[in-house]
Amino acid sequence: MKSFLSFALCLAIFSGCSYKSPDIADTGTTINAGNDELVKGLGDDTIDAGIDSMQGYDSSSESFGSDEERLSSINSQLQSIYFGTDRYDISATEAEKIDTDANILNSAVASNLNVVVEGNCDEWGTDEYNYALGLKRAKSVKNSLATAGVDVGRISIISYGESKPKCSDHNAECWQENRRADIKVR
Amino acid sequence: MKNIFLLMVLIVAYLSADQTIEIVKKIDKKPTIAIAGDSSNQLSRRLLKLIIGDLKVSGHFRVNENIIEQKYDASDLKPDVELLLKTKFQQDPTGRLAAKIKLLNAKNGNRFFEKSYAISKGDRYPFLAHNIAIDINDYYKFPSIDWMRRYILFAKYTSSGKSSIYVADYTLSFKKRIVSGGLNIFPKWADSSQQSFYYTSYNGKKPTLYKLNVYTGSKQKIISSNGMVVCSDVSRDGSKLLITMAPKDQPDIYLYDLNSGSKKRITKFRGIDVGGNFVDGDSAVIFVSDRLGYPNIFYKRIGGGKVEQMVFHGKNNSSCTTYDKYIVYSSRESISRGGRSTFNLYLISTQTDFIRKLTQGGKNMFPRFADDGETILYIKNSGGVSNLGILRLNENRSFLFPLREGRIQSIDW
Repeated sequence: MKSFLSFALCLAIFSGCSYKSPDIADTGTTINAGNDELVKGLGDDTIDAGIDSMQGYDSSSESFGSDEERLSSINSQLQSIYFGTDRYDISATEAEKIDTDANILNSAVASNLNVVVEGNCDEWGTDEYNYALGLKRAKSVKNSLATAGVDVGRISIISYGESKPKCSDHNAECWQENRRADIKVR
Repeated sequence: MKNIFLLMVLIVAYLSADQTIEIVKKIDKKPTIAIAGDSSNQLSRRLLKLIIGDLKVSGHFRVNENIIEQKYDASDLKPDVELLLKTKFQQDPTGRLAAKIKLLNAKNGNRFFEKSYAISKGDRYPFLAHNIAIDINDYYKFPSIDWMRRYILFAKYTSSGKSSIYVADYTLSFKKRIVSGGLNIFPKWADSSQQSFYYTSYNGKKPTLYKLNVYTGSKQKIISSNGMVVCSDVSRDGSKLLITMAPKDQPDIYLYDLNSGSKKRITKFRGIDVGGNFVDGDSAVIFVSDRLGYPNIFYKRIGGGKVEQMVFHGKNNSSCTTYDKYIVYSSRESISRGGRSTFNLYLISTQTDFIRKLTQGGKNMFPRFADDGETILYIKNSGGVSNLGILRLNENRSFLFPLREGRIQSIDW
């Protein structure tokens, strides 16, 4: 009964995750062993490789004609992180993207590349303050990527303030698009 | 009784000397003036309009805005005004743009003064007009408007990730691009003679602060930093800079000694500290920080000591400028349903509790005091147009000069 409840609890917890591993389910033993073993399992290399493939990013099958193609491909999959007005803390929703991006950055095809986090702001406020705000946003993302397992020595940050808007309309949707940190490899 | 009277006199004298009290300092009587000349050619018309504009901006004259079409040597008078300024513009034998003016009593034709001017570079014609207005103003010993002949520096966003730096006159009638290609921002004059300026370039591996001589084009690297590097102020002797930079990914204000190359960290807060300005004879700094959870204005002595809050009004004060005991800052207000905000400028004194609102509506930001402490340059974005604003504190008036394309990123003068 206790094992069944543990099994059910584990299923309930992991039903909310962005990824599920058929490999984990198939190994059976990992799940049936309960929470502790599942936590241990998350650090297992086999399972990490499985997580990569379950996120739809199978780096082992990638082949690129050039470094530029490789960089372009990786950068197109990295998600920007968005922020509230005058804020540089990362919301729970955005934190999930950090995890996804961290896995991409640690994948075989990207793990030898340097990472730059670019902080940006909307058009409101004086630009000098916005350059500092953009930098704080980039720093928050850097810290989160490091927590998610990306080597902090690979990551640099830079702020572009208001200078690189994604859109130039004057409405709330556009301003939200511009309050962001972009993650890139180079 | 005598003591009470003396106390009242002292209070009135003190209050009347404080710019934050909204009393407009009036010149006893503003003379009326009309401008006469030949406006049939475009350059002459522009010059005449600029002179009219300059005299209006000075606030020291009541200006007839219509150009009086009149030959320079004609004897016609204009008895409905007090002063008549007669002008003549032409090319001299050496090819320079030359001007002659004479200021007359409009009622009886008596001549007050006469002067000639010439400039070799025709595109600088706005400065010819500014010098004429300054000379007329000085003749009457009105408060100085010398700031009109100073070059303005501004950076303009031209497209995403690109910004160029220009020198201009305060009306933006003259503009010359000095730095282009890539992202070049936050220009700051290095000295009062306006020979060189500092600016930030993003065209290398890291943001880098450079010093550029506008006359020779020589460029000197000052310092690079991870993240960002911005020169926000220069000491009076030009030997030290206040720089916002982030060598350890944390934006703080540093004092940079140009002679030794040493830098001293002034602020140590884990959030945002930016936009330092020298005050108190360059012994202290006024700056913007979010240490209270929102941008506000603070003070700290360079030699050490506590950080003191300077502004107790508003919940988002993100830029400031200082002159003597006065601070002008930009405060975010009234967020509308669509998320639009207004930013207005406020003037406070470090000696009193009074606050004076200086603007109304739009986004009024990036204030910069002139050397005379009576005029403020600022950026106003309104209706999709980026404007250079001139605010005359004693006249309680402001004037806007629109930039025809692009968006002003930062300014200095």
